[in-house]
Amino acid sequence: MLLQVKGLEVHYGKSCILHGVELELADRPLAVVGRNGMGKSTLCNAIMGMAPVTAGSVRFDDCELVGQHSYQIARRGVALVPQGRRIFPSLTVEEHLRLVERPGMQKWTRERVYDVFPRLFERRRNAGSALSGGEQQMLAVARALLCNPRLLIMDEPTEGLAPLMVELIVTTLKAMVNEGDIALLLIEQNLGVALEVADSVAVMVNGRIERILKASELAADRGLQQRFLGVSAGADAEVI
Amino acid sequence: MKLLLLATLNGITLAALYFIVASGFTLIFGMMRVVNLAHGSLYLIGAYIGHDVAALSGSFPLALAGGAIGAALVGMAIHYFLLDRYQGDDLRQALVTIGLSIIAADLLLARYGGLSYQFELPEMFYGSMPLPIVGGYPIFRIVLIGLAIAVYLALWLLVQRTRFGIMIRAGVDDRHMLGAIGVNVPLISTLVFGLGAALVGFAGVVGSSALSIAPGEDARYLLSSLVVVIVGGMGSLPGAAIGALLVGLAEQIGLAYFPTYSIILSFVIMVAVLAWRPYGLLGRPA
Repeated sequence: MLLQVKGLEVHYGKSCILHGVELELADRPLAVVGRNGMGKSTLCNAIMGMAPVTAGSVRFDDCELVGQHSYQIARRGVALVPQGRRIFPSLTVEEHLRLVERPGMQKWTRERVYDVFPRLFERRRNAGSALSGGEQQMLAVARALLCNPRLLIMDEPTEGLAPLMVELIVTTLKAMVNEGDIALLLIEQNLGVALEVADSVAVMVNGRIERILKASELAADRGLQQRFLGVSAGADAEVI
Repeated sequence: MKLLLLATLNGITLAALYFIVASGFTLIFGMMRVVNLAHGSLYLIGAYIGHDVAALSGSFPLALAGGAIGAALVGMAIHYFLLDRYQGDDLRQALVTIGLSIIAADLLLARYGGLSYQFELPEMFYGSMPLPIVGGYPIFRIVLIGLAIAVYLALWLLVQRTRFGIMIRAGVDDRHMLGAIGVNVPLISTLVFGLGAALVGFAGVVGSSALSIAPGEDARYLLSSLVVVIVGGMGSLPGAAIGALLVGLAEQIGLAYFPTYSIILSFVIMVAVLAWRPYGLLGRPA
């Protein structure tokens, strides 16, 4: 098992955000869905060492991550594409990539990233603050891939993007998954995207994982969608 | 005319010194947002260490290196053990560093006494340089301007052109995200703090050669650095240069023409700039 989350609890002050999350991820992509405020982003941040974990454990490749600095977690091979993208506004595109590029023979290099996202090459001298939402998302994905991770965590990568951009992100993710050397934990509001990319889907309710289902199972069952998400995938799924 | 020119030259050379002192403060406070009110103490520590090294070795370059390295080590220790854990907690950092500066001032007073010291400069820096209208002007004060320009260019290249500089700017933007892409942020912060401390230690040796070292200088340079960085805009290197020029010129021209009020002139500038541009001349909202 690549990633194993057990009894994970996170408190901000007195309010409890995660109440004992249980999650396992091998090499097949897993999506986490749920309504707003259920703790999905907090889960990402907790795995990445960016949220105050009060109990529980996160094991990655047989190594405990809780209590480590986020830079140590990143160096073990976990990369995050955070919610809101969090591009550095005063760095140019090129500087973002220089910052994360490691020397030596790596699977992902600056050239390969520019091949996958030609738009970033055109914008390489522009500051992060001057990019459009879609370009920022490409850069956030590129930045994470250049870390050459074994596990990529993506927190709502399609949020606020135009349909064409969503399609590009989905295509890139699927290609990456098919290549098979990066495991994917995808947090999504857009159920259509989650079902398209992931094999199984975990439903998060009130800081817990309520249920883990096969993607096909959830896609077929409108009742389940209504119950856990209050939406149906129908309209969203058509967008893809 | 001669008075005005002389006051202007004095203002520019003082500004050069203020800039070197404040460039370290720009890195530490302006960019990293670490509140370090012991900046003046690092100036004094650098100056005294430089003095000891010069007394032992008789070499001015060694004194410069000693002052810079000594202040850097002290600065990195302060950051690593006391300040990094309070990152983002301005009030605590302010209180800790005020406490440190009081302790440092007393320790230095106990070790070096209350008299002022001056450096023996290398032969080539003595004497004056002939200039039109003013007659002669001390060579070392001209050298000071050159040093300030060199520090400016070196810092600019470091911040804009190197990978370390990219890390500094990224850390200013989003410290947590920088950690999440595998950069050891606490280490980088301590190194940047050390670099800022090295600059002010270097400035301590230079400043006590041009003027002198004595107890009380720490508060003076802390205050000038605060004014320079706030007037210029937090974290802006060109801003610090402009701020230093404004403050240096105001002090010297004020001293020449209306000595009674010259002491408040730099604060008048600060108030005026902040009323007009709340983030400083070249600053931008955080």
